Amino acid sequence: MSTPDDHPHDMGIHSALDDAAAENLLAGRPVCDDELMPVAALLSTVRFSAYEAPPAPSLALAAVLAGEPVGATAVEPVGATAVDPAPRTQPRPGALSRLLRNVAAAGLVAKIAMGAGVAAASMTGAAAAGVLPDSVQDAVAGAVRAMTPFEFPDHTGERPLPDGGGPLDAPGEPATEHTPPPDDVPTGDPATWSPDGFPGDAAGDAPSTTVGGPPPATAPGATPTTSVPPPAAGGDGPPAPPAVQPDRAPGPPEPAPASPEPAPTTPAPTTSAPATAPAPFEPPTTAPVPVQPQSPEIPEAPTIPSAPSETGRG
Amino acid sequence: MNTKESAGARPLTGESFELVLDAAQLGAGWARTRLYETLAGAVAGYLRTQGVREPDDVTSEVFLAVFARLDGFSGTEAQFRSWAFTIAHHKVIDDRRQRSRRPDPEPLDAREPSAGATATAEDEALANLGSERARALLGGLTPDQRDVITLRVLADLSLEQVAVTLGKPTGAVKALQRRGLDALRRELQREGISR
Repeated sequence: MSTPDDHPHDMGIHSALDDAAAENLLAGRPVCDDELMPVAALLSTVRFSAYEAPPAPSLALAAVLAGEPVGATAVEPVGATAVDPAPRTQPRPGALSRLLRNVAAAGLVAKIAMGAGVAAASMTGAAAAGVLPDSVQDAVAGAVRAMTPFEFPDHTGERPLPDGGGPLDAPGEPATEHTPPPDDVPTGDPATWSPDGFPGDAAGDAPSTTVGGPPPATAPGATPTTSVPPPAAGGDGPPAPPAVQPDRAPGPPEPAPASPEPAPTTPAPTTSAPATAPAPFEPPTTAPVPVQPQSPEIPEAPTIPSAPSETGRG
Repeated sequence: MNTKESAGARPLTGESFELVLDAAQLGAGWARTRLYETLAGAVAGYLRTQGVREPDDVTSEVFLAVFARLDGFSGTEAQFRSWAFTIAHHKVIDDRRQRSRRPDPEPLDAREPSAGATATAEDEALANLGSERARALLGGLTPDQRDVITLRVLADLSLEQVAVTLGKPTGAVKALQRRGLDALRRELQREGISR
C-alpha cells in the first residue's frame, strides 16, 4: 500500500482533515466527522498497545533494576544521529540532599517508606538513647526539643517534661528508665542535618554518633545527674550535678556550642523564676531571693480640705 | 506541551517523579524499576509499531542507555518521557539501517488474509482492528509519517517534543502528521471499514 504524500485529493476523496481535527485524533479526543471515525478507532487501537505490560527485562537490565551499577553491558545508541538524545545539562548536584528534603516534607510514613528514615533513625536513635557525645547530645536534644514534640535526654540522661518542667525522675532513680520506648523514637528532622543532607556528614564532626560511643554521664544504677541547662562540655560531663533542673521554655533551636563552658558547680535555683531557652553558656545563678510581687504604688488619696466651719463666727 | 498520560501506564505525578528520579540517580533499584514500569510498555509498543525486530530486547537496550545517562538528565516527567523515546527512536533508525543491509524475511504486514477466506471473513477481520492490523496499516505510511504518528499517539509527545526528537521543524512535523492521518483515512475508506 503506497500512499502519496503530496496529493491529498487523490482519487477524488475530499480531505476532511485540518490541524484541529488532526490534534483531536492524535490526542484521543472525540471527533465529529464520520469520515474520521475509523481513523480514531485505528489510533485507539495503536494507543492501547502502550497499555500492555512491560516486557521482561534482559539480564543486564534486570541487574540494573535490582540496583546494580550500569556496567559494560549498557548499550549506547549505535549509529545515533548527530543529535545527542541526552539533554546535555549539568549533573544534578545535591540529588541526595534534595531527595532528603523531599522526604522530610513527605511525612513520617513516606520517610520510612523511602528508606531515608533508616539513616536518620541511626542517629536520632542514638540521641534518644543518650549515647552521643555530650556536646552532640545536648545539641541534638535541644534541636529536637525545639522543633518536634519529642524530648531527648541531654548528656546527663535527663529528659525534661513536655511542659518544660523539672526532671522526670526524682534523684536516685536510674537514668535508664528514661530510655524512650521504640515507638517514641522520632526519625528526626533532616533539616537539622548538615547542608549536604547526609546524616553521616552531620555526624562527621562529632566524635561518635553510634551506640558504643562515650557512655552517658549516668551509668545504670548510679545517681542521676539532675542538671542545669547542659553546658557545652568537652565530653567529660558535669563535674557535680546540681539539685534540680530549672524550668525551660521552648525556644528556637540552639546551635551546637562552639566552645566548652565550665560546668556549673552550684545548685540550680528551684524557684519558679522562668528560665530562658536552654542556653549552655549561661552560668548558673545563685538561688535568687524570692521576690514578692510588688503592687503598683498607690498614691495616697488626696485629702479633701474640710469645708470652712460656719459656726458662730463672725 | 502535551502532558496527557496514557491510562494504562502508571503516571508519576510531578512531585513523586522528582523523588523517583532523584532516587534512581542515586542508584535505588526500586526507583529504576518504577521508571521502567512507567514507560516500558509504551516504548515496546512504539518499537513494535515501527517494525523493530526483537522489540523486547531493544526495549531493554533503550532503558540500559537511559539509566547509563540518567545522571545527566534534569527535567520534568514529560521531558523524561521525550528523552526516553528519543533514545528509542534512535534504536528504530539503527534497526532500519540494519534491515536495509539485511532485508527482513518477514514483511511488515505479514498478516495477509488467506486466499480461501471469504469476503465475509475478510470483512470481519478488517472490522476487528487488532493491534497487528493497526500496525499493518501504519506500515503503509512513509517512515517519517509513521514516526510522527506513533510518537504522538504511543509516546504521548507534543508536537514540539516530536520535532525535537526527530530533528525537524515544527511545521514539517505538523504537515507530516496531517498527511499521515489523511493517508490512513483514505486507506480505511478504500477498504470499506466504517462504523
